[in-house]
Amino acid sequence: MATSYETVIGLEVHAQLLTASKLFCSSSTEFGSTPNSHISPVTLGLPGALPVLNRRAVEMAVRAALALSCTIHERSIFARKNYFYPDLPKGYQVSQYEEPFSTDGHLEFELEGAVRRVGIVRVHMEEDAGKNVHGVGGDSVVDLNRAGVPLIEIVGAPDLRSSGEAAAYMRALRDVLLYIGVNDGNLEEGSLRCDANVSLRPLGQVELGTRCELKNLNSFRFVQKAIDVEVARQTAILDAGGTIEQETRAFHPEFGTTSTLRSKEDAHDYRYFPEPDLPPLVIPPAMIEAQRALVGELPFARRQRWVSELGLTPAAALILSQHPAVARLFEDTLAAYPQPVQVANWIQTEVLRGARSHGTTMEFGVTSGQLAELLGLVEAGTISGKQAKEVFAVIEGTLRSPRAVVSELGLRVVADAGSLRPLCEELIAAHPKEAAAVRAGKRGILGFFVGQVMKRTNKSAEPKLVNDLFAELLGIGPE
Amino acid sequence: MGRRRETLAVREVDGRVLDPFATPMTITRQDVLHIARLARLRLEDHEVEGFIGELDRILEYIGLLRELDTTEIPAMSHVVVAESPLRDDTVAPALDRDAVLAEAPRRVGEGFAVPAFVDEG
Repeated sequence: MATSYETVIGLEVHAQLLTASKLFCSSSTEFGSTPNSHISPVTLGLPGALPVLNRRAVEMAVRAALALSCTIHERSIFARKNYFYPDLPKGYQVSQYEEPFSTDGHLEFELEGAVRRVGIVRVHMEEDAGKNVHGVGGDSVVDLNRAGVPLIEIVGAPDLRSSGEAAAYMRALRDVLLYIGVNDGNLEEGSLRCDANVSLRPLGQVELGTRCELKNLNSFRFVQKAIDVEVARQTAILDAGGTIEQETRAFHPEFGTTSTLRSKEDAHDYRYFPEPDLPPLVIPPAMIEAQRALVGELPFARRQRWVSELGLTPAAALILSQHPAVARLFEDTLAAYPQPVQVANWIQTEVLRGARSHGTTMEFGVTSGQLAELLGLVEAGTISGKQAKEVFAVIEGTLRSPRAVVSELGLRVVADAGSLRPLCEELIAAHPKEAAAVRAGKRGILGFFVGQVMKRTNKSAEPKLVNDLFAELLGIGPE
Repeated sequence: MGRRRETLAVREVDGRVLDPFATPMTITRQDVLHIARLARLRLEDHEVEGFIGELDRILEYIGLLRELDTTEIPAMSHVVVAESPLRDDTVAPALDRDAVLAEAPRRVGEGFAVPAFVDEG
């Protein structure tokens, strides 16, 4: 009988911090610039160049660690991780090893209706390497713009048990980092990168199996797919009586396969040692408290509150909470128009259709003030819901007041056939003689009825519409 | 170092205290070749022999330091400056790319050209 295995997954996620300058020097971190336009003596690893730590990077790293419920260590040290690679000019990466600035946190998220809590082993700071372009003739070409950009590495505990759970964890982590404004959540541009450690063990066994590390999974779909492929590969080996070799593997999305990058024999010996050029990092309590205040309510907690207190459906709460700008628009609109379900519906249908996101910010066609005013006009009976959508189309992308647009377009409920019909029926019933004359072919008498409606609606009804309505109700057809 | 000491047994043999942690290690030929490989150094045979002796003498000295009881002394990673200074997150002008690339062995377009290699992530 085939053995059943339990999958054990731990993710290591690298997130780029949204600073203007690099971790240890004043070169720009801007993405997409021409190659080697953001380089300094520190970036290049020139002899004698000394690193100086970026305060804002430390603050953002602390904020991220707090959002993940980590313990912040007042004193931590940087270490040199030594290896030779063309995109690493110094011959070492400055990272944190034995004494990282934060440890022991967790991340909570929902999966299929249940709450999952996954341990965070540590969050530490480190610098990014350069970028390589391959296949330029017989060469590879190195661009050092990215070298030295500040990253945090978030080491998750091996608490994940399926590829779906791993992808959900990665999404939840992205949402948290985006919310607190330290990362733009952009996997395609590489500002959030994921490596997955995957192992199998027979069901019931406590001891972990031999793991393989999958490198650079740059989309949520790839995280899930790469793990599925790797689990299938390891299962086949174990079922055939083989053993798993500990190694680093690359995922090839175009083929749906993984292949060996480095076997255990080639495993790097990084010879970490304390970075002599950087004194210990001391994080003062005041900085920790200031960052704690900036964490605010996280997406998971917010979703739960919106469902339990505001009566949103879990699906609506999920959509509105995924991006901090959408959550802000929802809550700001609610402050002026406290009808959560209506506001949620409008944002999901009309507003998000034309919204564009750029990292931590998002552009909407309307402000919370415009949206609240528009919904208020519907509630007051000034315009119908259908007319509100017409008004929305007019004000979208402008800062115009919905109320002004309504009066300018003469949009009132009275231009809405549905709301005028009862008044017309009432007038026909009240004036049977005139109605009979119209039915007998005296079309001119229609003007009498239209005049009555105009009088009753303070001339705000649309005459053509009223005329057509009477013609229909009196069975004479349009002119 | 103090922490590690506590976990290792100190034995008394023939009236002499033997601290396994203080026992001098010796450098093997394998060690020298491994270190040379990590440092991308190609060594001649006679150089390997020379380094065995040199590295042994360094370890002997470390062995001497280990005779000190440092159980109560916290590990120190840095001297002189007690705390890392922090700088503001401001951008300064970059070095001139052409001037920098002119110092490189080879350039292709705006980049540093190196022999083709595979990204290991």
